[in-house]
Amino acid sequence: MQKYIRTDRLPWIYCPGCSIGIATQMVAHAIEDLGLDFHKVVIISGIGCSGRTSGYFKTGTYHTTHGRAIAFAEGVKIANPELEVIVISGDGDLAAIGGNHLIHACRRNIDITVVCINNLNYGMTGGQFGPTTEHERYSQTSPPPFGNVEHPFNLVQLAASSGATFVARWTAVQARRATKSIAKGIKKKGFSFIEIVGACPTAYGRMNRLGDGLAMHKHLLEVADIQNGLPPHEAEFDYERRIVCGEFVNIEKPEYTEVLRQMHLKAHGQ
Amino acid sequence: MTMDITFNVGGAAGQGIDKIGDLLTQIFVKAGFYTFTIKDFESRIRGGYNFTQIRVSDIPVYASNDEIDVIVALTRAAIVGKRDQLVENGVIIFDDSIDFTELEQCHLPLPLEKTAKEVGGDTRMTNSAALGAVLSVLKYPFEMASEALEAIFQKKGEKVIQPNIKVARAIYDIARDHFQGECSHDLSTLRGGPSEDKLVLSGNRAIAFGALAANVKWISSYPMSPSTSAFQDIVSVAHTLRIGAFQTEDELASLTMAIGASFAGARSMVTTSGGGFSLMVEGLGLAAMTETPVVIYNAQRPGPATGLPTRTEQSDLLFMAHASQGEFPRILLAPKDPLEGFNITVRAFDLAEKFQVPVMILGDQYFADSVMNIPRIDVTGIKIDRGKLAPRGSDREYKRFQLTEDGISPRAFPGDVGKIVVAAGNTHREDGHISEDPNVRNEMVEKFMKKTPQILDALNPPTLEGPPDAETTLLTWGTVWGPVFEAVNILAADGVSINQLHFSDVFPLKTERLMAIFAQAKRVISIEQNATSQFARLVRMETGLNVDKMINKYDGRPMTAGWVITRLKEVGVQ
Ligand SMILES: Cc1ncc(C[n+]2csc(CCOP(=O)(O)OP(=O)(O)O)c2C)c(N)n1
Ligand SMILES: [Mg+2]
Repeated sequence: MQKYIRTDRLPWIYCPGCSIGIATQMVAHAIEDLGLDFHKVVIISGIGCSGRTSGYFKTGTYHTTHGRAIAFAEGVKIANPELEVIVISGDGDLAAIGGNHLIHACRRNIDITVVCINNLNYGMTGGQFGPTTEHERYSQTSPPPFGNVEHPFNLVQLAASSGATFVARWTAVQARRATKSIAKGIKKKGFSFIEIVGACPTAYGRMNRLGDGLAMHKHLLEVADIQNGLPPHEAEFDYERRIVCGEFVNIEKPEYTEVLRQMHLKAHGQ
Repeated sequence: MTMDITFNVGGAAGQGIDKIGDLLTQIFVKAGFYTFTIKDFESRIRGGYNFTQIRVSDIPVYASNDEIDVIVALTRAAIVGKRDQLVENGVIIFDDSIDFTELEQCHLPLPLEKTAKEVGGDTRMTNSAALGAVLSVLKYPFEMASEALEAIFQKKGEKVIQPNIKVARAIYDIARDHFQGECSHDLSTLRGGPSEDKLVLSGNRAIAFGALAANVKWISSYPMSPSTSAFQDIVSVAHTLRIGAFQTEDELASLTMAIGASFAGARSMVTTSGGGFSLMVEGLGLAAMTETPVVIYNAQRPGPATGLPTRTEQSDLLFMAHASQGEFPRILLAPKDPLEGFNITVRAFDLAEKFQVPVMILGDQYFADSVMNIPRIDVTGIKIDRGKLAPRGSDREYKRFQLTEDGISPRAFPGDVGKIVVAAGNTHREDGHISEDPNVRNEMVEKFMKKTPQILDALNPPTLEGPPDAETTLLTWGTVWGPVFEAVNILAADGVSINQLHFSDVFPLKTERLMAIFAQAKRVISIEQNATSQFARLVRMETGLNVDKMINKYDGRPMTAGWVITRLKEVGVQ
């Protein structure tokens, strides 16, 4: 991994048992498998524990403000479509404060790859509920005895219905499959969204008595139900019982920067 | 001053340094001392090097000290991290399992974790072990400590109390037998201190308590360091006190929801830090245009962008004073310490509703996370002023923005019987409907402008510490009050002719007293926790007066009296 990861930035800032390191390696392996030129890759992240991943890569990286990773990435990609643009960030960053950018980027079908590390809460700020926290789960801001009043997004369904052309979900324990999907997403000419369901034992795990990192990862292995090709609206997410994993969307649609290029050619009479 | 001790508990995030710090604070507060605690931590959940530093004294203290008497180190980094600030007879206590061999006389390795496990049966009692070790090197009478511990752990029951005391005692004895060095303080004759101040409060908690005392009915926030704990404190009592406490998807929503709630009649607030306030700027203008009261608490941190999430700075002053397009009245308040934070928050709600303007409270990480013990606050005398409200009953002619002598229109709320409440973010007529008529525009702008002189009358003037005719005046605002106040006292005791002109109500700027003091002083020096002397610039903008020297700190770490004195000497004050 030394080839891709800045070892001078190690040790990771992540807690023992956290999934973010694993997800970072998935992306590194995907880049390796595709044999991408470092100089042509930009990894972009927002703010949060997951958002800290960008700084560990030896490629070009940019750590944006909270929620803005996708908006920034769109700017990079449209300005220079030659670049391979990858966003890695958290559920809060991408689906709460950055939710609007997410759905609009899906709709536009810009060729970027978004890897969302969904640890079911805001880890960085100490474990508040977020847009993927399940109903009645505990967090710093949805404390016992009532828990979370709200209902979570199902990110696969959100991305699919917003128009993403490649949508997958894996858990942190399915590293090989997840890496393959990330590589596919990068290769895909269009907007790709890959959710990696991970563990936050320090905050979410502790508050909901889900055990340590090992226990949480074991649980993910147990409840992961691989159903490649299932229609996205059937990609159930129920932490307790069943998390449907797989690739759910892989469709073709005119890609934004390509359409733009064609228009420019036409405008110049070519 | 007979006693002034500083403890520094250092280690990695997640190791429980705060717990040890809290125990120490509580022991000394219960024994009748004044304490002041700062928290210094990295923006990460685990690892790194963090510390909490507790100053204990028999006179009130308002800032941290540069010199440390006892360090408790939970990692190797913490053993060496503050070594150069240790006093001559200082002690560094650490667990003997840490691989550290460059031992000097000040080092005291002890079996903290081992004793917690063997004597208490749980490594979580390492906190009590560390406490026992500190008390031992100070020769603090153990009986006093054990009484205090009983009270501290009382809620957790005998099963927790006794083992913790046993662990503390065991280490207390081991340390006494092992400690070869000397400690700067010997408390063996200590029987207690003079302080009656038993309320241990951080700035953030003071803001939360102030809001509760002001009968806040709505808070909508998005978590952001260093403001989050104020929000969480209110969330934790929201159901009991029937408060709408909402965590939104971002700060755009936070402020806009709060404006909605306020329009519907609820006393409303939001908490955030500078980055979140950036997103709230749109809402700020909406609140202003629709004259909807709202309180915004900004716990500032160094920017721009994500900056230093867990550090301190006073760099949002001019931003908040001028944020949003257009021109409108607003109020900025900057508490100097937790007690004032409480009072300012209570006032903020009244001011917001009285003048129907946004009121912003500027704290910072130093204020937000620092903890001191203060007298218990009596809230029974607090009166709530909701400002001008429309008389109850039907009024078909009710106009939300009715033109009045003082520019303030009686409020009614949607749902009130017999009144229709109309408002708009566009320029509007008295009845709230949109208009492009130049006369209406003029009337409405003038309505806004009428509020400022009345607001100025309602704000508090600056305070002055020291003689009014001193040669040197130090100009401060907000949370740097404490370290500068201590520096002024130290210098005055040395015969320096010096005073401190301090603003907690910072905008709009009250200028009468300021002009008088500026006229008397030979030189005025501003001291601010930012790089561009924003308050001094505000003073120049409002009065044309210049300060003679500017002292600035922008490394994200709080000031101390020692730091202030050194900088003052550099500019010739002695
Ligand atoms: C405008 C703004 N608001 C709030 C914050 C504080 N903040 C930093 S990270 C974070 C949540 C991150 O959650 P998520 O994206 O799920 O990442 P995780 O830490 O869980 O990996 C928040 C609210 C901020 N940095 N900027
Ligand atoms: Mg998260």
